[in-house]
Amino acid sequence: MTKANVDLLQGTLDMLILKTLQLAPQHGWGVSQRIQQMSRNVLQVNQGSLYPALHRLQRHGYIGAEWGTSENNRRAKYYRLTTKGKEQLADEARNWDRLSRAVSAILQTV
Amino acid sequence: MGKRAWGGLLARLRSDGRPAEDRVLDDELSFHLEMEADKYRHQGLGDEEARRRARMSFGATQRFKEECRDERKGNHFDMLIQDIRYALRTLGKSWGFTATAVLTLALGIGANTAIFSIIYGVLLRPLPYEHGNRLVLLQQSAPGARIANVQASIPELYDYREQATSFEELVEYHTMFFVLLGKDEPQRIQAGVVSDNFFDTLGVAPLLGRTFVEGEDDLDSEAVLVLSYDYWRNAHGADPDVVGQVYEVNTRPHTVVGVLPPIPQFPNAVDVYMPTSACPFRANAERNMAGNRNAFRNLFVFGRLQDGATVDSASAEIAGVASRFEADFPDAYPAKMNLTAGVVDLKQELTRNARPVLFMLLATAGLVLLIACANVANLSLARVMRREQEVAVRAALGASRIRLMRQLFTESAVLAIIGGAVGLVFAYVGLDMLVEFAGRYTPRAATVTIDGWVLAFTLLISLGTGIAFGTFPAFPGTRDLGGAIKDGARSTAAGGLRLRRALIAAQVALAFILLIGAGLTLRSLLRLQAIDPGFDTEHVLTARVSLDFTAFNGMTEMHDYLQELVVAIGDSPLVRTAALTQKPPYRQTNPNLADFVIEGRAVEETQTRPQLDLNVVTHEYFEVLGIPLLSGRLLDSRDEPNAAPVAVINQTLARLYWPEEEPIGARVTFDDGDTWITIVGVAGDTRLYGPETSVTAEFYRPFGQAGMPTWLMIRTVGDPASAGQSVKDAAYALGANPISDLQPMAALRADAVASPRLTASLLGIFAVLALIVTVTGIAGVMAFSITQRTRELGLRMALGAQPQRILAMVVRQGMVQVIIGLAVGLAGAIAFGRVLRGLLFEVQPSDPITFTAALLALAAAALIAIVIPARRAVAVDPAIALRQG
Repeated sequence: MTKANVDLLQGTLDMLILKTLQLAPQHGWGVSQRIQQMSRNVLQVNQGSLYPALHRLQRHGYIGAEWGTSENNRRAKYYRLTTKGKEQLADEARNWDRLSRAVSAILQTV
Repeated sequence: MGKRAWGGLLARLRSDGRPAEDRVLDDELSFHLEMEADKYRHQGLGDEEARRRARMSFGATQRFKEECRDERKGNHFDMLIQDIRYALRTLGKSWGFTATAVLTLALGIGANTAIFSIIYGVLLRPLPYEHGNRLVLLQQSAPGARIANVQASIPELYDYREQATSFEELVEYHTMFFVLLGKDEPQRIQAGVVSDNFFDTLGVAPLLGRTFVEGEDDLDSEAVLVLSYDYWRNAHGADPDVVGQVYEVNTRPHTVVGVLPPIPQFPNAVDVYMPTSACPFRANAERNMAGNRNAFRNLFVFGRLQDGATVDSASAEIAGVASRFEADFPDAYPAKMNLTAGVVDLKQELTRNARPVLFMLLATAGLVLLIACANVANLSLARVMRREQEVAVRAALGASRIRLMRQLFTESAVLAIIGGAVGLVFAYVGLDMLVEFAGRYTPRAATVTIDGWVLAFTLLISLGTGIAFGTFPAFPGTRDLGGAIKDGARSTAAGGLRLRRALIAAQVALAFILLIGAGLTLRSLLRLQAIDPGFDTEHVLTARVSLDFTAFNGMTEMHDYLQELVVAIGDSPLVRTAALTQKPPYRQTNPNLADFVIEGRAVEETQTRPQLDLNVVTHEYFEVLGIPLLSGRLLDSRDEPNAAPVAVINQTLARLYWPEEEPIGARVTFDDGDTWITIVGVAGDTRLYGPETSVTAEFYRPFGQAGMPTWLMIRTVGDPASAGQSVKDAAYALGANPISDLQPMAALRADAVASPRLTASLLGIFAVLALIVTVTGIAGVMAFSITQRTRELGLRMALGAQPQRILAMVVRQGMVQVIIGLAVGLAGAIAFGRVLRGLLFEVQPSDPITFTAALLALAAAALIAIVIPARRAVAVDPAIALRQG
């Protein structure tokens, strides 16, 4: 079983998925590869968390899904960001920014 | 649930089964796997290796499939459907378990449903009168004269009406029989004679026509009738045009104005109702009342409470009114009578007699349900223990703990609902018997049905019992899953087995209680049946003659008519001898007690005088019933109206008052010496009022010298039932006085023990079923525990233990739980015996014979259930047993 090199904070995965889908619709495997790539292999997404997260986001209406054809001509389920999802991403990014700044500030204080 | 939802549900339940979303998820995941494998192939790995790596990186698919499902919207419903389908499949696979559990539950639930429907219909449901919860019955008593029930007289009713303010209405009721002419045969009709606002007070609307209206109580109003539902159905074939028909009653035309709906009738079920003005006896009493406080002391009084009045406040007020009667009219009431009055809730009064029986039924049903619960718990536990490995594997494959619990829970619920449904069928089938049974104690039983409330109750106890007892054994099963997977079903077996043993002890205790109950009622029944009534019940037909009093001119005419009737019936074919009596045996009439004085014995004023039970018979009576003569002579044709007054007494009366001397020739008087009656003979004792009653002191007067006997006792040539028509023909050739209530004496005798017989069979059935269930349970647990111990027992034998000693050890260990159960059951049985006390005849609730027999029966059955599996265990070759372990 693959383990994330860095444990993701609760809720962080959702934000990362939304971020990945900001550019273009993507299937589940693509999402996991993108996250790994963008984090320069620091973050590896466990499928056991990825798919439940995708279904959760879909239920909240942040992402939509339809079946399409993948780059190697296979049928794949593509997820895309909805308007609601874009707003959610903006919100979460802002929060993350504030949080990380705060955490950094604490860590830099000696 | 809408039509679409149902469609969806059906689609989901269809055999292909899995919801569409699941297949989509599978597709999605297999795409992911492919892509992952592709990635490894690109890195130069072989196809096999690439797939393997992909699968490894993927992890436990099953678990996150579950999680995905959990995340999906609306899928709790899907999960429920899936669980139900899974439950049905597993239950179907182990059909032996399913059938046993369903039957056991159905038995418990069915018994409780049927009995609840009786209890609900009789005790809980409001009376089917609009004002049912405001109705009361007025009761007078005279504690000073030790009279429990003093009917009200007309002036008393009027005083209550005038002086009491707690009531919106106070209405009267009495019952009389009349003869109705105008149909094929003259009919004896039992009439309820009531105030004209009686039905408005109760709040009963007619089914057809109208009820009585104000003014119909006036003595000069036209006579009208309202028919009861049953009479309308049975005697008028539910004729929709009956309203407006005119019949002749009491030599007056009576017009039918309405028909009542089916309602419980209190205090008696009658055929027709009429206003007070239509009853000639009541009307004459009113006409000639003139200051007579005792005028027509024959009334029941019903009241409807005012808003704000309670049973207690109304009772107090009525008592206040009654307390003034004796002071205001000292001449009208015997000294120190202490007339008091009060009111009781009508609903309570209607069901008073049924309460002990219903309580017994409820206790029995409760015990049956408890046994069912213990049995199902035991079965489920056995099953969970057997399935432990399966559960552990599923858990390891990613099924979440909660999910597994829910699965077991669903299974129990499904089982319970099936059990409940089958139980409902049982209840429906058994209800008629129970209604008949309860109908012997309360008029409300007739309207008992299985309705919405009963169904709700059934659902509730089904789910309650099924879930509680199906699920709790599941808990140890989900513990320590790792251990379970490693060594099969052994790790938690010890705890489970302990629980199963406790359940067995509980079942033994409950079965013991039921066995005792059945034994006590059975012994009571046998005692009742063994009672010698003192008369011959075979080849005897009984029938009632209803004299149309208004059609006769004086007592002599009636006497002559009855005399001719006995002769005519005696001469008719199929009849050997006919007789008349005032008191037909086993018809549950009350003793006709009279004070008497014996000639030559001092009468002390302070003491209550001796009493005897007065009967008037024609001289053939003794021959028809085969009552033997013990000394002196029986009545005969010499004892004519104008001959010397004579009487025959029974043995009990002779022993009571002439213990030493010969009663023949002694004289007694009922009227302080105006008439002296000579005792001419002593006849055998009879139990007139039912086998359970004690013999009363009988005093037989000859017909003609005393009152009017109107019951025919007919000794027939063949089957008494087939002689009925020729009896009727002979009677109707003489006059239009109805012959009714034809019943063979043997049928009356059987009927007299019908209630105890039903009680005994009911308890007997339940006890036998409980015994079977319990014994099977014991055998099951024994077999299971022996399987668990195969290796241990094999080892013992391999080390040289004698098979006999091992057998003894296993049996001893098995009997421990049985003995604990018996000890607990003993305490319960003593309590249950108390519930039954009122229903037992000449049997103590702690009857040692019953207790010993039940104890031995149960212990023997348990021993057999233990020895059979134990012998099998010892018979196994130790080598095989060791290898098996």
